[in-house]
Amino acid sequence: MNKLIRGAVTGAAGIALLLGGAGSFAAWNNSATVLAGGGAKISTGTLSVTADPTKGTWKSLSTGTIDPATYQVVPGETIEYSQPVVLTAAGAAMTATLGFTNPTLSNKGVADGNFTAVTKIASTLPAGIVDNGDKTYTITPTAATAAGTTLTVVLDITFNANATGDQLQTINLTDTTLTVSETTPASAK
Amino acid sequence: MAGRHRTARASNPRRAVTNLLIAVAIAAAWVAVGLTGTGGTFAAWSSSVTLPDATLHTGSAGLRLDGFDQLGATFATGALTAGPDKVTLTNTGTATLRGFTASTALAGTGASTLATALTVTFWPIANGTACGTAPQSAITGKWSSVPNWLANQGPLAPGAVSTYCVTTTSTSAATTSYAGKSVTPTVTVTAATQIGGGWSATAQGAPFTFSTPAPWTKVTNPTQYGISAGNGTAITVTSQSQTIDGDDYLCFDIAASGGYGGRNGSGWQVLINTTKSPFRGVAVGDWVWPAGSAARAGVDVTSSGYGTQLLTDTNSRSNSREFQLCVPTD
Repeated sequence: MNKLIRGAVTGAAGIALLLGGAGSFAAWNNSATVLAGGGAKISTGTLSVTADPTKGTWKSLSTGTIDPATYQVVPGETIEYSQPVVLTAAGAAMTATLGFTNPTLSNKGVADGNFTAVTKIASTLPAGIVDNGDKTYTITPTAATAAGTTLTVVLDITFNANATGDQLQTINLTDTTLTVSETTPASAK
Repeated sequence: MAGRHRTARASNPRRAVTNLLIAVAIAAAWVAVGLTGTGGTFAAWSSSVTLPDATLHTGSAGLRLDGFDQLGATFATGALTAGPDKVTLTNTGTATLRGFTASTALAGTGASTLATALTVTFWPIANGTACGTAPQSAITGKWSSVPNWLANQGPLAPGAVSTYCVTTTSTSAATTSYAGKSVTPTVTVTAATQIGGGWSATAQGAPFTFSTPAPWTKVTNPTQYGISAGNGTAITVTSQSQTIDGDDYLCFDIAASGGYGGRNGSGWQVLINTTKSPFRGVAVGDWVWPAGSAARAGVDVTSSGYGTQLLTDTNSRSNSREFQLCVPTD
């Protein structure tokens, strides 16, 4: 009994002590605003690439503007699709990489290798975009890229000059993709 | 002593926590080093655009030759030129053609003989116009070795037509030397696509045949040569072998008696059936007057209906009473 009472008293005392440690009964209190002017705004950057398909154009490097729906390609000829794309890249600490996926060319009636495709940027590269020489480009945002800069992307499809057949065939081009991806900011490495 | 030491280390909670923190730090360091060392990207942002799908079509190369079936002829004295006739090239493909080359293959008994005596001439004309006469720029050769008469042909667009005129000329000597021969040329034209040149188009013209009449068959009856009296006078025809200028001839003496319209030996006519080979067309150049006469020819040939040629004495010798028609016999 005596032990029981003594234990209860000890427990109550302990709880009281814990409550005393957790609570703040500050008689004096003060504060100061760190950011002057009522606060601050932090803006995130951006990275995007867009294209308007209605602005794409076709031409033969041999004969000029063409309508691919009716034009007929011959060996040795290169057909070029030109598409303006708008690249927007903002963020001082960001770098990004731009790359392509060449189109899938499909037609079982055409001999393998008689058609080849190359995608690249044809326009003069603005400041902040560097050709890596491996069909990729490194982007370091500038004021121009932050505002959105237009690049001309061209897709060249070449019909092998030594082809002896493949007359009156149809070749489908699908899945030509341009991708821009953020790479690690310097501070995150 | 040793057991008490192990017990002391294992039971030290502070040391255990320290070891755990060290392990976590090492692992984090390896992860960081591994990722940055391999150039890993943390592509938080990414954007892509897919260009429109498209379909391309390939073209074709094609060529057609027309008109060659009209070039054939039988050459004989008086009919030594064939043509001019028109032949055409048509681009039947969808690609412009260039680099035209014409070649000729020969067949027949005269491929190596008669063909060497036949002169062929090609020249281009505007579509739909007449051939006229061959210009200086015409390309000429023998059928035995025809030059590339399309050497100056420019690019031919799809569907376009180019027209050429063709004449072939023989010689009288050739018709005798290569009598009874024939040669059948087959013309082939090739061209390549203007762009790239990877495709070629080939066309072959319809075959045609040049020939000469059968060799002389020595006969003595004038009717075998188709000689018969015309109207208005009495005509007698006899034959004899004769040597003229060192060559052997069979000569028919044709004498007219009585006169057409009452005039003696005047206005006579001799009919020659031109379907009779080999007299047809050859006789004209071989008209001779009797030995001693200065004149070698004095008879004109005019057409007089199908299958015949009418020989009439229309010159100053119209009153001649006798003349000879001689044909070579070798």
